[in-house]
Amino acid sequence: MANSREIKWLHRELPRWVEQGLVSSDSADRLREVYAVPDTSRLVFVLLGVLGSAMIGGGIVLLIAHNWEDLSRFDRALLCLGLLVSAQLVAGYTAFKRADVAAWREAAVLFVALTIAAAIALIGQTYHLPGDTRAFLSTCMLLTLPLVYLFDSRAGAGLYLVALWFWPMAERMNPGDRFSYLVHFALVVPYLLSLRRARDHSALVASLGGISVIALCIVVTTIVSDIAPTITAMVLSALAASLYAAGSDEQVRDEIPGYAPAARNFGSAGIAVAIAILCVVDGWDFFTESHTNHLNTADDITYGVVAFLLAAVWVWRALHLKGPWHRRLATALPIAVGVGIACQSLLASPTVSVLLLSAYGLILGIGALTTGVAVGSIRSANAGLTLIVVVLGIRFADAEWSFVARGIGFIVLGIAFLALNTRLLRSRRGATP
Amino acid sequence: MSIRKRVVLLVVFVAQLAVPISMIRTAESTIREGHAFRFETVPVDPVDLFHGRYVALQFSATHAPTIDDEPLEYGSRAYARIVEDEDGFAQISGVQRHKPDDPNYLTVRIEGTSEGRTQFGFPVNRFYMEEHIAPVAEQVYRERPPGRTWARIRVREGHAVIEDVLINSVSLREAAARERATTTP
Repeated sequence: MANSREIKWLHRELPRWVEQGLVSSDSADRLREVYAVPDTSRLVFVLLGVLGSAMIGGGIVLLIAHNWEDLSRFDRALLCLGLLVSAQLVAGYTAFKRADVAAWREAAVLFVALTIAAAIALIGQTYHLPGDTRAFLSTCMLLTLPLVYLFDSRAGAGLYLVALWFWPMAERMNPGDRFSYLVHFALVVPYLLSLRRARDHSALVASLGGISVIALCIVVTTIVSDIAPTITAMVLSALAASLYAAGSDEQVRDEIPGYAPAARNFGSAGIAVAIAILCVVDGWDFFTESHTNHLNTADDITYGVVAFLLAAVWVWRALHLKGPWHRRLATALPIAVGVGIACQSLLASPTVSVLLLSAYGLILGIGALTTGVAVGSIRSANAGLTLIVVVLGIRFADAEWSFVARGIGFIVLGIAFLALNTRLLRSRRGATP
Repeated sequence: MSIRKRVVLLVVFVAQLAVPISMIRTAESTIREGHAFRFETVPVDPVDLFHGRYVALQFSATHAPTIDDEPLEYGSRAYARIVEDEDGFAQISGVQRHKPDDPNYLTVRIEGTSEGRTQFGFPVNRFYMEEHIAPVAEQVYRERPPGRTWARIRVREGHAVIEDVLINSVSLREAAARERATTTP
């Protein structure tokens, strides 16, 4: 699916194409119909509504935070319930009279959500209730979530996911908290998936895509690093590879264009970061050394299950993913990390694992670079070159070579980087009339 | 919006109102029917974006003997029984997994166990004050005359509500308000 910039370009070009006889006037009209310019005025209204209600709700929260000592407990109870009922009246009016206006729906949900937070905070303040951040977030989220579904509110879903970001920061989690955290995340997933059907290409869905991907990364990291620390690196690399694969999939890009760029960008960044960390001995030590003493049957079972699932995902992706070979290789990152973990456990040293991941990163970088050069994609070529520079740079820095040798190595890499970009830019200029 | 969705919306509205009403009801019944205990404490002054400024209270009664034979797991809920010492200050006599018959107990979260003793998070730790009064309250506490500082807490069947924080029997809130009135031109 084309983005709004491409669609505007098409609309500018069509009259010239008709003039030159490249397309008929009927075909041009049909193209204008299929590729209609998105109505940005509607989006502006939605964003203004979201911003306005967020500011009013935030203002109420701050007013309550002042803590008006002169108000009695009864006054405060009335204030708290009055605020909530007012917000509910706005939401009720929206539901009955303005349900078809997105700006009203988004604004109403945000207003109710912030009012719920303000009301609960006011009660906590009045009775000096303990500051249990997780319980506070959970109550506000669960009372807001039904409105997200009922009002089809992207902003409400975004607020819910942002609250999930802060959940692990509150206090250390016990098994019950982890389960509850997963349930809270799972509750919003059907809504996020429902946007697939809506084929909404707006900036609001694109932002929601980014927020969702960050929430997913935080949820997975929190859960895995707590329950199965030995395979954290493997699971996180699987997440990065899956995001990259999903974001690169043409079908996904066509069906949920809002989510795909966020998934691909976070995925490719995650792959690069994972390779950079696991190219050095300290990286392997960080993920595994402190946990090697805790290996037990439960961990072994988790290992087996995760390895099986990752292998299944890998085979499925390899069969379905189209495009250059380096994309399929990128999805194999968790397999490479899994083999690295096994080598480290068997050899009691991370040296082989470091070399394995360095070789993997180098091949992946060369794949992206050659593809970028072949198809004239500066983005792909630079991504590949960056990966090569990162891997070789880390190897140079990690190796016990002299400063002179390492310095020359860095200079050679830098010259190669600049030369390739210059060549790609020249070839692109040459191709442009 | 369909009729079914509107009905669901009304149910959601009722649930949204029920939560604060139930919180108010529990706190009010604790204040009306709960027994007032004096817990020794140390106040400091932080801020919370949502709730505002408060005096954080650090209680000395955060560990006690484990009453049950069964081990108490980290993060699990347990019940701390309260008794009063000869000076009239509250002490935790023990922590157990099951609710005591006596209503004078606190519901607590276990933070650790060691050699028959249990460490727990004190269930009330914040005393909210007006934005400009809380920093003065901390100053009043720092410059206090020698003596004891305690929180008067109403307790009933696990629930606890702080009524006041007192320095040598003088209300911290009143002392801070008086101090602010004398220092503000």
